[in-house]
Amino acid sequence: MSKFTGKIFWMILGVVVLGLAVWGEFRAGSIPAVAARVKDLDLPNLGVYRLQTWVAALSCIAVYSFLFKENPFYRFFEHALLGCATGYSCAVVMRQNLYSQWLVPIKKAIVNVSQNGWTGGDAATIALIFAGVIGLLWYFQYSKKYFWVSRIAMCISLGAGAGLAFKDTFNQLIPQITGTFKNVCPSEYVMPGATLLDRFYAGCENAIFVIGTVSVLMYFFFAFGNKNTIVKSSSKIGRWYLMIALGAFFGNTFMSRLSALIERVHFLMAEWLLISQM
Amino acid sequence: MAPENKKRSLWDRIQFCDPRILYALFAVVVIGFEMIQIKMPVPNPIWVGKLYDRIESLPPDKAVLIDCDYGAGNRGECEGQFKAVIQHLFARNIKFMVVTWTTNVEGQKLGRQVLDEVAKKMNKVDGEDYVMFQAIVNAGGVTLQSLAKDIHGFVVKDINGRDLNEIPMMKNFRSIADVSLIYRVAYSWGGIPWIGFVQSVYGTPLAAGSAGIESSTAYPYLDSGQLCGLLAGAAGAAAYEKRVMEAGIVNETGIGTKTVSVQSFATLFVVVSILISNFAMFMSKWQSKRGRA
Repeated sequence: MSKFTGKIFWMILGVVVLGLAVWGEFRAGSIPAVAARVKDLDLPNLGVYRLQTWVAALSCIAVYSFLFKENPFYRFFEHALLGCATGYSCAVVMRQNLYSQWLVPIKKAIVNVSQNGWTGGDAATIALIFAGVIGLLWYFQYSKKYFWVSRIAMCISLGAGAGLAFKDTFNQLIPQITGTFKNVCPSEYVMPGATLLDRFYAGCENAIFVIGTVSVLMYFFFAFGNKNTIVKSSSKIGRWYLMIALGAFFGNTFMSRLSALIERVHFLMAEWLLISQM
Repeated sequence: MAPENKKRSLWDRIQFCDPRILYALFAVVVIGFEMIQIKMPVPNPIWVGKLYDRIESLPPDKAVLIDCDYGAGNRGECEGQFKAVIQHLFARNIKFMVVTWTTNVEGQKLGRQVLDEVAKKMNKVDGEDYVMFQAIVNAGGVTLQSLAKDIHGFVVKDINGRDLNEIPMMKNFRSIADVSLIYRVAYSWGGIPWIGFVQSVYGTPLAAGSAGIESSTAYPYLDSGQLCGLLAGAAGAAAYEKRVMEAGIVNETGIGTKTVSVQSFATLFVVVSILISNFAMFMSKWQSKRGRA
């Protein structure tokens, strides 16, 4: 395809899509599903809903236009997204966390203390001021001279984080280790009521699991050379297990990305162009 | 690299075709099947059934804690997982709390939209049947420990600015002891350390709805019993939607089922493309060998 015919193709496609969108706008008022959607979303009228949809659709097309090539349309919406996301996060955190869960309780506790004297609960709430002060120390990172002050906050975060990670790791991994001790020949006592065939299947599954665990561990065992026949052959099996696992991971990755695309296509077709079922 | 100095054969042209042609063909397939909407059989994974049965057997006097942490990028998978489960909880009259985190405010926005929509359709009232609040997550473990010990002490107000003590349903739910199930729906099921700080400490069952990418890492935890159920990707959502519909809770399936149908054909397209390109590679090699001979 020459450059000229390519341009003609994209222009025709653009005109067709725009035509469909405009045609959709004329029909929007008479489609019951659209009216139901406006009601579901608690919007004041159809106009607001259509405006929202157009903004979302244009943003979506702008981002996908990157697949064709890098362009200013894409860059504008990329920056707009970053700005909106940051602003929205700040507003929500300030309103729902810093104000209502930090400032207001402290204010209430101070009023309580001034009226009724000190109580344990009020003292603990007022102590939240120190948490805020420690948090503010992070901002010293912007100063070359007082950078060291921010290290106090950093030390507290790292110390607490390390302790917590230790607890988290143990609590997560101990049941994992015990979970790998599987019976490769389950008796009737282990699987009461199961038929011989069921027990045989369970035994096979467990054997695959145990072989996989041991061989993958062998693959990552670098303490001595793999000249030993047992280590060498089991690490080879481990590599196969890893490859199968990575293949499954890749398959799932593809499925996830595909779902994201389908969701957007569904939005564009059903809500913007109004040419498929909502 | 594409061979430049000689006239390219059909097989070479297939191998080195402009990726934009593939994108366009892929878009045609996705758009085509989105419009036709052929219903494909929905899988029935064992772990979806386990979560469904778990919710069926939950006591009505305890609440479910839903950790809603998905974003726009994984809405296609997680929205269906979230919606189907809350429809089931509403139908069973089990009260639930939805917690969102400061690290992902999108979760609150998207979750609230779905929650309000479903609640309206099923005649449920905010504050009586469900509540949504936002929690600070800095060091995840500290947050979860505090939340587990004293919900009212840790989260003072809900997202509408109401004091938690004044919300009718929250009078009976004060700590993790009043919670019968934790359900985390997010891109990454393990992003918040529920296992390390709540499930393993208090024994509260934990289930997850996760994007397909991350679901692979959940299987060891299902096997060890640390997770009691999993909705993996759009297929998980579709399977749960099917169960909810079969139970007569809703009349139609949701976004998960629609996604799975289009996904099946798009995947088929990719598999066929891979096969064709590999076949082209072998043919091209065979042709060049024959040319040399």
